[in-house]
Amino acid sequence: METQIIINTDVVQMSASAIVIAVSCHGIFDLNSDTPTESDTLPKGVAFSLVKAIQAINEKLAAKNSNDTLFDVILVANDLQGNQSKVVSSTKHYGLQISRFCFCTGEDFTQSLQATNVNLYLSMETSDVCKALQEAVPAALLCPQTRPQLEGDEEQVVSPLTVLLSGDVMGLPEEKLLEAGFSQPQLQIFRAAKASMADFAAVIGEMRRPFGREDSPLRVTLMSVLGSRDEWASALLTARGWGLEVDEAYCLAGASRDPILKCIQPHILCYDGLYNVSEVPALS
Amino acid sequence: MSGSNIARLPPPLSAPAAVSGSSSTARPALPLPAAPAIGGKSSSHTARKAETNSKFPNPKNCVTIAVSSRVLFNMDVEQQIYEQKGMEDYLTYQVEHETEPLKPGPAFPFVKAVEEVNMRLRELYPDSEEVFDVVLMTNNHANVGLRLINSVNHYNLLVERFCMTGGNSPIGYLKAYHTNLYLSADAIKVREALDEGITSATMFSLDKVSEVPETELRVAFDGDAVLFDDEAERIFKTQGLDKFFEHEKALADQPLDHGPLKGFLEALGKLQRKFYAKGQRLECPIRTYLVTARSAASSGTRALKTLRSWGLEIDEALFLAGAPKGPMLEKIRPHIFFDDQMFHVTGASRMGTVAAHVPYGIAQRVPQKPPKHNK
Repeated sequence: METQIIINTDVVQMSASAIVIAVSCHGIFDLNSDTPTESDTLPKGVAFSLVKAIQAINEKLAAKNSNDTLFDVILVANDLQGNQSKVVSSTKHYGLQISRFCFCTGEDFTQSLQATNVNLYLSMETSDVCKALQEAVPAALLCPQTRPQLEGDEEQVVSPLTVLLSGDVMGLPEEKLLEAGFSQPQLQIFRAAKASMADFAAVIGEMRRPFGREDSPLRVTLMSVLGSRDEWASALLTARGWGLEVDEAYCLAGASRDPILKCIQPHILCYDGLYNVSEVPALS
Repeated sequence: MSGSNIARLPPPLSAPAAVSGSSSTARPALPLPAAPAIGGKSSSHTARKAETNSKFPNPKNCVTIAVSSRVLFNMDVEQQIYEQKGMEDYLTYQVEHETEPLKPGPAFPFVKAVEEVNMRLRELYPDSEEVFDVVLMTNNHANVGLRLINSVNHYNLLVERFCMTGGNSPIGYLKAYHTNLYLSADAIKVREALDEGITSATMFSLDKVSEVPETELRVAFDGDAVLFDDEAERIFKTQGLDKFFEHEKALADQPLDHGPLKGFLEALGKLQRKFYAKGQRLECPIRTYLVTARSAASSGTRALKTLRSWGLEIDEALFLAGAPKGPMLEKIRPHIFFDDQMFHVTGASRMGTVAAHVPYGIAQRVPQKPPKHNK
């Protein structure tokens, strides 16, 4: 079985210099919906607003008329079993600026990602993110949004794309994780996340760079859960060294991160393997 | 106060040298720099941490005090730059002065005293999570973070939790940390917090600060509209003093409803009882004061009975019968004094007491003027 790549003819294809963000379509559309919909349109998924947020970034960049790099969003799906045409038609229905669809089968989706020169892969499934990280593809978790999403074509103020980086990946020495009792599999993911971190930060940094500190359509948040304040400081310095502009920063010093995540409501979350979450906690 | 505990300044946190920041190709890849060298924590901080068996307490169990950066430290100069020249210049200034520790702000002595109490608590209850936890909760952009960390390190403060919201409202985060008390220089945020049921007060920079004890935390409270609700205050302001006396006499046995600081007094009382339980009533390092314009002979009764009905103790109750609070506070030397009326807050500040304004109740809507009669 082969990977199918379908071009979205409704959308102008971007140049090869654009940064490619591959998004798993499971968050963008609700593929398991029970409610019957009009034939070819899938309901919006819990992470639908991510695509809108990236579009807003591209629009602002285009309005600035500069040579800033744009962001090319492609949809990736693994084992869709016949819903391919619905995904394509729904994309067109909602007018999403998605340039291509990459329909994979079986376990070969990381190879497909590598073949399509993806700069960043986003999925709601931690297992997919781990697989990608272990193949050295920068990847992060796509988070469900609980901000109310308007139905239909109503104009909606798009909240800025919020990206959460792990200060622990950037500043926490491994010995501390071992002391804290994390398992070897978790440490492996941590290491894989650390290895891709620079590339991930580069993509996010590139997205953030053209905008000022206020009214940016992209916000970068750095959070240390386990690290001490000096390890958090180390993470902040690392980010600065990479030229990555950080807007918000949190040092939790062991406090539970769920209540804070509810406030931040990230779209994209750097997965560091330290938390046994099968999904990001319901941000209600 | 600031001179007593200064540890040697650790080597400055500075950005690693020469990392290329510009690239605009399709796959920008910045080289991963070697981990920047951070100066080790000053030795006494490390020692203190080891002593305190530093497992970070769960916010649910501790008494969480959130302080903004402008009340923990003095940022008058920086604030002026922000107001006059804008965000960019302000941030540039902060980063340029990153290795210069900030000077202490109005909440600094309070935080230091809180840490002393924690040390004493840990001596008696090494494994307990019922301690104070101070969180730095600021609206600031993350770029200011390093200067704040350097400043915290410089004074050897045990602040481990930081929330830099980069312009977003702190309210959600205050709730997430189960905040028991929020101190900020921004009156608008304080009001928002109070509206959301979070105990909160506004603090101001001081020109003159009296010496306060280092080994005993002293917290002073006004009564009406601070510990108690503003029921009686309303009567006084709308119907006058005589009506107030009548009302309070008639209802002497009926407890007042609670005010915004009741919960904090309760939290302090809980910690005090931990000392009493170990036979340390006389040496308890927390002392609370009621400083009210009510008079002992009459309207004070209802205040005391209310406290009793809540099962709360207060160490000293000072009924001033309308006299100015400044001189009394100067004698008490509390680390912080909470009042709902700016008149009293300014009066106290003029005499060197750190006073915090609680923007609650009718006093905020009625024009302030000094009381003419005895209460």
